[in-house]
Amino acid sequence: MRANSPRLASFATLRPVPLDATRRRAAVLLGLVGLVAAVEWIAAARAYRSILGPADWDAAAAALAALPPDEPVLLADDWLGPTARRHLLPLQRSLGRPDLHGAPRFHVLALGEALPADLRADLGDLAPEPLGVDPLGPLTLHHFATPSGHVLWDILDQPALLAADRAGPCRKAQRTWVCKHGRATVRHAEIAYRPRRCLAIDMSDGAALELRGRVDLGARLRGHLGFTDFNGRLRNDAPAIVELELDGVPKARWLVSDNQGWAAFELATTPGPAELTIRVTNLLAGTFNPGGYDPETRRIPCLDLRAITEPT
Amino acid sequence: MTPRATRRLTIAAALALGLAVVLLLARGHRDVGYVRDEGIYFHASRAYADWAVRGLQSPSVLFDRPARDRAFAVNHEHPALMKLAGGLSARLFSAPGPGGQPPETRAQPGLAPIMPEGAAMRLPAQLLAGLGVVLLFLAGAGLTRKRPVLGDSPLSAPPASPRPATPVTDLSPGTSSPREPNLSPETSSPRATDLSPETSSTLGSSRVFATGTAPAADPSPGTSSPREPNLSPGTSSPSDLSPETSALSPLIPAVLAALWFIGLPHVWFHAGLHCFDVPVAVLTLAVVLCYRRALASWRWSLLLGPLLGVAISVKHNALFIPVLLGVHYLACLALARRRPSRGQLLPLPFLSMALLAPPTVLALWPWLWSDPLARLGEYLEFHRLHAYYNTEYFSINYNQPPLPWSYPFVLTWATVPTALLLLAAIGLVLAVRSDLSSRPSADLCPARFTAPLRGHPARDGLLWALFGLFPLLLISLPTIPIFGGTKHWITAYPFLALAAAFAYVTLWRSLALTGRARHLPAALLPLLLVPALWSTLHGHPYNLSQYAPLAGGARGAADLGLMRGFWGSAVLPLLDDLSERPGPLHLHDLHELARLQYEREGRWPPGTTSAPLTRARAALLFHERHMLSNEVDAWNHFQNSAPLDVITLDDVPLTSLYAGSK
Repeated sequence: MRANSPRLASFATLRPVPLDATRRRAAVLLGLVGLVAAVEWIAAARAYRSILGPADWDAAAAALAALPPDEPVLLADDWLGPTARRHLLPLQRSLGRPDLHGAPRFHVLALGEALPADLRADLGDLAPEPLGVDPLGPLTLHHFATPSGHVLWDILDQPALLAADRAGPCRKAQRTWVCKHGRATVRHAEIAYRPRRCLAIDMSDGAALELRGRVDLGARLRGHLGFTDFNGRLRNDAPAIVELELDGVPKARWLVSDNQGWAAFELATTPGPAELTIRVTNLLAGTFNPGGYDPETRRIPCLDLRAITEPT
Repeated sequence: MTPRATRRLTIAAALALGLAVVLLLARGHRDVGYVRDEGIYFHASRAYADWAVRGLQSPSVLFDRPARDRAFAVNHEHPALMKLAGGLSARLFSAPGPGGQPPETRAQPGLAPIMPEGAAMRLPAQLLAGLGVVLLFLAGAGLTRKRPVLGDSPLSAPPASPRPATPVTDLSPGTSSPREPNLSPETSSPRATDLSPETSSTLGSSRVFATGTAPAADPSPGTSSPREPNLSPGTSSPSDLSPETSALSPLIPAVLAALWFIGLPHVWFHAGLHCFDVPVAVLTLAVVLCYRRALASWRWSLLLGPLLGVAISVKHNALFIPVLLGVHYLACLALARRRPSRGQLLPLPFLSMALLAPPTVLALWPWLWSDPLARLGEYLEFHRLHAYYNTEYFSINYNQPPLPWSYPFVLTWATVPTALLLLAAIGLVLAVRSDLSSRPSADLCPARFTAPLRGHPARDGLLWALFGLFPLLLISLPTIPIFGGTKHWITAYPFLALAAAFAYVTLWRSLALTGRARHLPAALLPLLLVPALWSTLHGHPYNLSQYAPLAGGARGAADLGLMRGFWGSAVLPLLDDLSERPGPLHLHDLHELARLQYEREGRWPPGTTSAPLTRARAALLFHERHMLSNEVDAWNHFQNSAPLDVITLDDVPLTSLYAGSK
């Protein structure tokens, strides 16, 4: 009620107060605050301590050592990566895998959820079948099978391919092809904020790198292309073109841009040997900044390609 | 205890807590590595202090434009005051650097060499943090007064009627009114203890509202007495509480307000740095408390302008203060529901800010002495067009607009214990609701321009809401950069702390406990404060990466994909490793000027020089989402993805040291 006169205002202040209601509301609010605080005590006791000790890492190391060396072991919690790799060298083997295709069995070491979003993305349309779980203290080792074939051929492991750009053949030195218009290197790269092991193709604007060779094909060729690094992606949106030929016949052509992240592509193939040609053209390799186009600050496409068999 | 004794005890406790905070920061932050920005500020501080000392020795130097510009060109995108203070502090307290280094690369001894040069430069900011604690403590203590009156000097006022107190638990809105206007200038003169916002809720009235005493009977029929917010809207009446029930110790809200603020891990981290974020938060609080007094006192008005100038000379956040104060002032006029007097249209507090703040800023920033308008324009333009650095929020790296509007709210929840936030929210609601309904007395004398709101309700709730919410709302705009995390809205926290203390007092008062239960407010205070203090103690010296309990601490934040850190400071434990493998080191996010500061103090491993990754034998890596590209570069360079050592907070890697056979 709004008091319109001094008399009414005075009267209004003298109305009886439902004191119990006031007290009850105060008690409820204080109780709520106190309850939240009490929960916070419990949460603090759980949060503010280290849960991984040397014994836990030793147990994990022993469990990983017992796994077949050709089966990938992945870490579910990326943020734990540096510490985990420091204690568990087998994790380095699977670091930067292109995805989980071509791995009929794989293992996940997890502090929390076994298959977080990143690993589910790597599985794509593969439905993993849980095979078992080994508790290792706070860590857990999960075993999975997938309806995937195995890898017959991997561009990153294949030294027999010939590389060329439009100026002629490239020279191969260790993990790098050196060409007239640039170079291509097998290395780790940050793509969409995840590490990937791939062929980084650092060519001049519009130049194509071509790789050619005889390979054993399976049921499909599966590859990815992404751009590194995040600064380059921010300052250059030009796409790259990926072209595949088999026995001299063009089979597929993909236009990939950096907002696709680690873009997957696939081509169904007939099992058996074939002459494979793959060509990657980066339309613009430099970056744009307030001063204009800077060809020195690079945004580099990175490629992976594997031949994968039918699932057995 | 008499009101005077209570006041003395409160002041003593405030000073003791402030001093303890300064001492803890001064000692504890020696374990906190130098952040990127500090490296630049250290360098600038030395240049500024050198100029100042030469100016003291030969005043003509002060007017030598080339010399002045040379000194102040360093880091001229921020005002000079804190850097100048840091540099002068180093001139006083810096211990000498190690022998055997050229003089320009080692710290020079100060007049009383008692601490490392970096610690000495951090001292002014730490002193301001201590001042913030004192102010919050005193302001919080004032919240126990039953009917706070703005502009009042409670203990200088005539004693109240000795009749038993009849305090009201009726906290209903719309029942506030002033009493007889106090025309004595003595009652509103600037005094340290008068900074408490809650010494009054009605401007200029002259009453004693100390704990356990009652206001005199209202001599003017038809005016209602000022009330606190009512938990049951629309109801109001005096209660029958005894004086004993209303005697809530002022130390309770005082401790709550002070520790709500300084006990937070991110506030504690920033409070110890040679940076500007906590200093500007403290000065914002000081300006607001001063403004509150200035509305009823010409003396405080004259102080207000220069004080605002000092705040602006610390950091540009303070440029928003007069705008928010203007909003509050207009709200007060509008809510009074009467035609403003001529004096109210040209109020002295705002004239003071308009006329005295700019020359103060100019005086405290010698870079502006030459070509002030152009340089001021350049300064404002720099901050208007600030670069968008990278930051992680729910596993997404943001480095361009549109930025998520929810960022400041979620980060506040994730770094401030929820119970404290809840209490602050309750306090804001109760206080604002009360403010919106309270009205000044009908027989109030026309206000003069020297005391434009004397006799009006203070409307502290509106002040807390404006200053507690505006920084968050500003950062939530999709084009405002968000890279600095919570430090960008840390100016809100003192006001949220006061709102929380207000809620605590109001709710307990409403319960009107008697007997032993009267001690519950004090006994349960640790329940509220311990999660924050636990978080801060446990997170030290990595509190930049610490998170609140309900967010799961550092581990929970890592799971949620929240920012890990951004300043390259978590490095000190790795210096031992580095001393065992001298050689070129890639510093990554550790600024070279911060490394030089370690070197000046003899803390950097000899023989370890900074180098680009391509020539490095070891590399530091400060983990952030976008820094993965640098980490991958280190793997490629060293052909090894297993770090040699990792600094962690609750298993979460903060910094790694990579090395290889190269």
